[in-house]
Amino acid sequence: MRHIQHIILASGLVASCVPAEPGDQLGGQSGSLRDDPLELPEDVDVIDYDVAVTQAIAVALGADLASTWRGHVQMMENGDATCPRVFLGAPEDEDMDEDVISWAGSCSTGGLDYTGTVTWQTEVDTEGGGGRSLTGDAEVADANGNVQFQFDGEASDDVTWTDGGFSYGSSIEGQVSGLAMFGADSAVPGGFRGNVDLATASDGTMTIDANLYLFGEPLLGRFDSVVLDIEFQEGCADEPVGYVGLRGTDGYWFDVYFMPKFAADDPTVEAQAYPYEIIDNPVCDGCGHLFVRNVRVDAVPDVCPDFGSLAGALSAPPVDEYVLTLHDPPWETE
Amino acid sequence: MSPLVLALLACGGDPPAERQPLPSDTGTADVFTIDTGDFLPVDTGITTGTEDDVPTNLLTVSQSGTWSLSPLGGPFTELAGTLVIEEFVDELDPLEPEYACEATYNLTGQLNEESTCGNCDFVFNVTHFVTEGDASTCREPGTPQHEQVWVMAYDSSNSQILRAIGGVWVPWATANMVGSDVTYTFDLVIAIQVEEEEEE
Repeated sequence: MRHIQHIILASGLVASCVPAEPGDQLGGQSGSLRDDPLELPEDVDVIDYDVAVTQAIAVALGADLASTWRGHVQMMENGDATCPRVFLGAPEDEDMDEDVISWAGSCSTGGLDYTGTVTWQTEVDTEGGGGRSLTGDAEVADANGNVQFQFDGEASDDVTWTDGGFSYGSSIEGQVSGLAMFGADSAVPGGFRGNVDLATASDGTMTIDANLYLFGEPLLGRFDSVVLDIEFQEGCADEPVGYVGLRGTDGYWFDVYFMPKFAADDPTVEAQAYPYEIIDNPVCDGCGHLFVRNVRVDAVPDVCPDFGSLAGALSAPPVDEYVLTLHDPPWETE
Repeated sequence: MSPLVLALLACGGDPPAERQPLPSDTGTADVFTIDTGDFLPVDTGITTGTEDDVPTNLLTVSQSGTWSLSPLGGPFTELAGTLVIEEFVDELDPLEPEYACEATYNLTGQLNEESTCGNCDFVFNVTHFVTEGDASTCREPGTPQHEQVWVMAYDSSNSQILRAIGGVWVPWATANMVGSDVTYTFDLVIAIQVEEEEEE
């Protein structure tokens, strides 16, 4: 038996010694870029990448705590504090600040079945700002089994309103879905799993770091996951630094690189992964360069998403959404 | 010599003149996919949360007091008052009441002419002075702490005292005004997670 194991191991070692040559279709390596030809998806020059990237950014912007919080409040409005049971503190096995408030099921009321727990905290300052956090693992479904609210993870956000303008930050990691939060007109109708850190402002500031798998219908019927690392920096409102990645339902990644996030001489692995040597004009022109399976696709013209409409549609929750007190609770009291 | 040693020796020299044949490409997209994503695994676990997560203890909260407004007959510009907060868990022995939290306050207030509150009769900046007890031990999140100043208003049409939180007016207590005195109360019974005391 041991002899057979050695033969198997030896076979693997021999195969790994064979040097790869250009043209070999060995598949890619995570994080590497290559310029040798690889088979590309048949629809590579048919996809509307402008729309796809625009929608990917809209998805990330829609995957904030504001949406999840509205679902959380709606679930409490449907109850009466006994179902789901609202209590001061956190579930016993959670190591959390005792100033938090939680709700927990399992119970049914108002046509909804509650299971799990959610714990939250809110804070509002006198300067027009608010912050809140939400953590838990809960699901609420109607009698037909349609999930109205599902949250499993941790999230927080904060907003500051000054003279009608806002700055907003949201961080969420976990799984979120439900009709109470994401209707058919939502950018994320089926919900998502993954993580999103975003910072936006009414002046067009937009920084997004996201890695999301989308439930439900893929974007353009073609992409089921998105990865974004973009930031609009001073001096260029038309194009961010960073990239937007779209994962095809066939497993291929379609990456659109915008202006470089790192200096060309940055020695870090992250910086070296950026294809400086392939992109010849990384200028602020509103357009990025498409790479499919880590190969620059010359047949596809530059990708120019509608950043203007995205920036114009940025929004933030009003401060009153951060006010949630036991003196005026959302649930039915008497 | 074992196959493993032979293999290691083979790695040490130049590549062989003839390469081992590579696996044939079937041409299907799922053979050489490049998936560099870093996704969370599917959560197949059962959503936690059963009756065990719901605490069985109940916290009873009572917050009540008075505002005495002056000058008599109005328009009111000054406020002096009291607030008493009591909290207890589960039952309270009437003979030997043991409160989880007890705090008594003196209140002072000055008319706030800057804040606007829809239907309110008047708005005051109310300063809370704890004169007895310890407000920091109270569990109700809306408990005022020593020397905190709140912007509060009285709405006679709804018999309510309201509190401005970040500019948002929130109903705070049921209230009733007779002459120049306002009495108010807020009562709450809510489940609470109580840490079990460790046995020595």
